[in-house]
Amino acid sequence: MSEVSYRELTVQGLWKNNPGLVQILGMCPMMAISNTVVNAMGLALATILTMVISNGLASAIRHWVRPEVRLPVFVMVVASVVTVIELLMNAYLNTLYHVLGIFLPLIVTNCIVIARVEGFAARNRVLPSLYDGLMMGLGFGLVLVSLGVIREILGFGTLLANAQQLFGSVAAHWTLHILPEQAHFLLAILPPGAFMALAVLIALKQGFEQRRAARISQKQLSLASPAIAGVQ
Amino acid sequence: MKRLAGLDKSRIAITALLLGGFSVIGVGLVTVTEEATRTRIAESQLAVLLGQISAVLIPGSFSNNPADTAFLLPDPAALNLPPLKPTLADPKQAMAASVAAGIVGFRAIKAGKVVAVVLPVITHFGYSGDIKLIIGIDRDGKITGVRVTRQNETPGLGDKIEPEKSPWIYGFNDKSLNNPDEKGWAVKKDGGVFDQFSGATITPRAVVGAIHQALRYVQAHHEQLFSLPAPHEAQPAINLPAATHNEVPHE
Repeated sequence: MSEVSYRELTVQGLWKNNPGLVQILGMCPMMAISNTVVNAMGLALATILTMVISNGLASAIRHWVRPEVRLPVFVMVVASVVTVIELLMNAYLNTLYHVLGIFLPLIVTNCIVIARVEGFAARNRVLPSLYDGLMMGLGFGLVLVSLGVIREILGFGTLLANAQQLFGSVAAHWTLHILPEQAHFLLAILPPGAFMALAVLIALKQGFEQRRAARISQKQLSLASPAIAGVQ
Repeated sequence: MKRLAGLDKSRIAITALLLGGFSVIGVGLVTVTEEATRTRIAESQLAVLLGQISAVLIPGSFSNNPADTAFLLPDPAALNLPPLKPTLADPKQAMAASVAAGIVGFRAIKAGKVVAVVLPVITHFGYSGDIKLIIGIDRDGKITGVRVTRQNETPGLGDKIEPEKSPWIYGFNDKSLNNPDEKGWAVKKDGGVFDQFSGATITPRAVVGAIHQALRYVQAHHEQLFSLPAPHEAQPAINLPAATHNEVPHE
């Protein structure tokens, strides 16, 4: 049980091991709820909260939970947390609650939640577990919101439509109209558009990684070459 | 061997107790939150409901709170509404369930007269699944407003029935069974007076049909719909738990 570095947790959650782009977990809500930015933010918020609290609770009780019942207990922890969040959203973000519909309770079945609880929180202290939940949740949420941005701009020509559902009545006029109605690309808000947008995001990340890897190996080569020249 | 078996048994018991203990904590957490949010959730539901009802009524034309006048509709099948489930014993609960299912009507009342009724209507002819509407109709059979409460039509095409996307739905205001006449109650493509959308005829056709159906329904049940409910029948749509605590005890 070596000491974990917070820096490493951040890099893992947001980039190297990003739940949306690398682990490709939780695809179902990702595809279904990313049609507008506000929907995406709502689900991202609920998922992040779930991951932080579940990770924290699972880590806190990890010494009392025996291996035979670890999984059932953790599933119960996640389910309780999600139900509590669902009730709170129904009470305080009622419209958004209805927009998110079934995908709110379905956070229980999002593999990324139980994967972090079982894979990280069960073995680590409370604070790193909370932080890991936050970073993994953020990683998932950022991909969700990026998809939301792409799909809402292309499909509806707007950004932040219905922001009042999440931020209250002050946000009623936050909607930005970016594309004229003739330029709306219907496919973007239909399910195939979600897959295409995610594919583009994954490709961009891979391309960036490869370029960086190529740059690093070139640097090493140029560092090594004078030595080679010296030998000659 | 025997000792091991005994150990195993106690181990199983402890594990079971642990699992049970964590279940109790989980249920407790949910129960506490449920208790704490119940009033707030009922209030939000009431606000949503009242918002929907008010949207299809003319502001200022009534003086009551229409959400308090939920009533079971006669012959719900004529509006394509699902039949009532075997009713719960408690009439309050049964009404709450019907309100949640969206199969009740509401009355707008002014000076002791029902000025308009608000009805749900469902059409099965949507392009992708049922379309649910709520429609306000006044005493003279004129439409005071129509809104879509649930639809799953193609975004960008069929969803222009939503007022956020297009003003199309406002075109039904002030229409009645005689305005336009029987033949006019169709989309233009079918020889009627209502616009279809380019690329989407099925959705508007379904909505026009459903609204026409609701108008004929109101004509058929006019007397029953527009008579004031007996005082004991008047039911608030959603019972706020806070209100029930303050209830005057029965004498």
